[in-house]
Amino acid sequence: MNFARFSLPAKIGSYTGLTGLALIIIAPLLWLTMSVFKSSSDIVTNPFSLPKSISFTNITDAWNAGDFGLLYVNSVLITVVSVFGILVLEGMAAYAFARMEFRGRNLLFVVFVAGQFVPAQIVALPSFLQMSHLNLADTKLSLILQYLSWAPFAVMFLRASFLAVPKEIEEAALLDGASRLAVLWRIILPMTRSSFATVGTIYALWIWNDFLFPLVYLRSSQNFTVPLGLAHFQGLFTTFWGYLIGAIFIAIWPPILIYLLLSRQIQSKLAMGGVKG
Amino acid sequence: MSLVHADVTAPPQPTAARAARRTDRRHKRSWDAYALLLPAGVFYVAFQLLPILMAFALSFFSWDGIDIRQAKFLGPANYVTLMHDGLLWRSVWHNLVVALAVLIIQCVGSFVIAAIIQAGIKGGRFFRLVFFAPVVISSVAVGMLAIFVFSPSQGLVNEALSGIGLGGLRRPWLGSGTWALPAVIATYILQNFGLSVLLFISGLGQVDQDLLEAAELDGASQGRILWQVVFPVIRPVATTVFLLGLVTGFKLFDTVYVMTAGGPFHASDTIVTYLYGVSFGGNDIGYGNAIGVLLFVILLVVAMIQSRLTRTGKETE
Repeated sequence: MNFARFSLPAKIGSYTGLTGLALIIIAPLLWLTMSVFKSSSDIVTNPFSLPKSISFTNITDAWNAGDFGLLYVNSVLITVVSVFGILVLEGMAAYAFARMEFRGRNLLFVVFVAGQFVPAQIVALPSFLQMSHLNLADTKLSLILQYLSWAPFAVMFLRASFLAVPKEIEEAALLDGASRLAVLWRIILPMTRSSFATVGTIYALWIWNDFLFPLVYLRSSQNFTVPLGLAHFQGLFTTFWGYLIGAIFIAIWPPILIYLLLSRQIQSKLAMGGVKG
Repeated sequence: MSLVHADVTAPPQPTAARAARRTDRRHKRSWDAYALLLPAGVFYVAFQLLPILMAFALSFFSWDGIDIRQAKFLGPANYVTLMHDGLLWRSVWHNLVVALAVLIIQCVGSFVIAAIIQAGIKGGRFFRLVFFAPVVISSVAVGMLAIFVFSPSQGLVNEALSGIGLGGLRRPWLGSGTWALPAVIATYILQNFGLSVLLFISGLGQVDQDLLEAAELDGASQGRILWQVVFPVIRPVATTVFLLGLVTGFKLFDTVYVMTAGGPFHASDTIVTYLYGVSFGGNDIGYGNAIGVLLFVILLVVAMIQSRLTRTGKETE
């Protein structure tokens, strides 16, 4: 395929189609970013004009009313702890499946992987009852515990990357008298670092953007994550356009900026995983 | 005789000891393995497998979710209700519409766009950057922004229609029984489109360049090259994209919950928003879990189709 050899109508069609789609994505973001600096009345009366004067009140009002500082702290805390825990837990399990021999290995692996067919939507309700039973209802810990159980993708992906490390390297090091732990730490982990980064990126996105579990698990707003706090905010200020636009702006731009900075890494990691929660 | 006897008995001693030591070591290794699996296994069993069993068990009870002693065993009654629940089957139908839209618009569209980008259109990297951006944003934020986009007055869609002289097509998108679902689907597909494009681009990168050049030298048209040389190679990727879309389409929740909450009057309900309403709005935990089991069965069927498809089209996965 060579774009230079496309026929003229195909070229025109390609540019029109791709530009049109890009506009459909950019236009709402542009509208949001323009509106956030306007006064509430200006948003309604002149929805598509540039702001007459730049005002940050929508952002600061929404930030204070929605307690977005706390929401970001909660989301960062929950995401970081869960992703780190997942990398450790599933890394250990994946290593056992890839490199060790034990009775029931295949069966256990099938059990671990079967979980990918279990929709989170079914787990949410009964696991919420479990959390209440454990006296963990409405805590950040309950969310972290749930995320730590999201094993299947991480175990599958990390096991495959451990298997890709040539066994000879490991055996040579062991023969040289290195301990198993040293081999793992000095040889295997450095060689599989990019797989860990891929799993970490994918899980960070899943957990950061998860809405269902916070919605089912959490009641008190001091524990809310960004998506749940945002949805809650919508319920409180339905008719306050300035507030709502401020809140969406606060929730959307930090992830977009991170994405713009790391777009190539993020794209390649997600393409490698080929998954969507 | 005694010599022979000694000959026979002497050697086994060290071998047996060695063998014993070896099995000992193997046992030890195997305990190491179980120790490595245990932490992950505890969480996985406790908060994935056990809830599934609970969902299955609870689906045979009537319970308001407050006091477990009030739970009443119903037998299969919830499943009988489920069979005759018109609103539920309407939700299932909506999920099928989502799946169909994903197949036609997202799968085919993203393949064509990926092919154009891979062929080397100018600005390809920019297009990739833009198309993929919505994937990293939370669906709640996207859904809330979409409410403004589809707003009846001053919404981008209606204003754009008026702007190009199609003011007659203005409508209260999310408030309309006919148009709420299409508006939600459009938002949902736009958010996930970039991931499919990305998967197709990486699949297209595996197409044999020599074969492509040969076809081009033979004077084959670009369209024919696409369908006869390129498509067979990326069929596995296409299968993945399609099934991924199908599965996530059946689990669709966030976008609907935020944009319409399933309304107006259940016109955009999906299985999961309906399940959520039954469980938390109607406090009918037993019936909610029966719907959950139904979703599980549907996804299991999809998974079986998946394994069938990937087995026949093996190679990459």
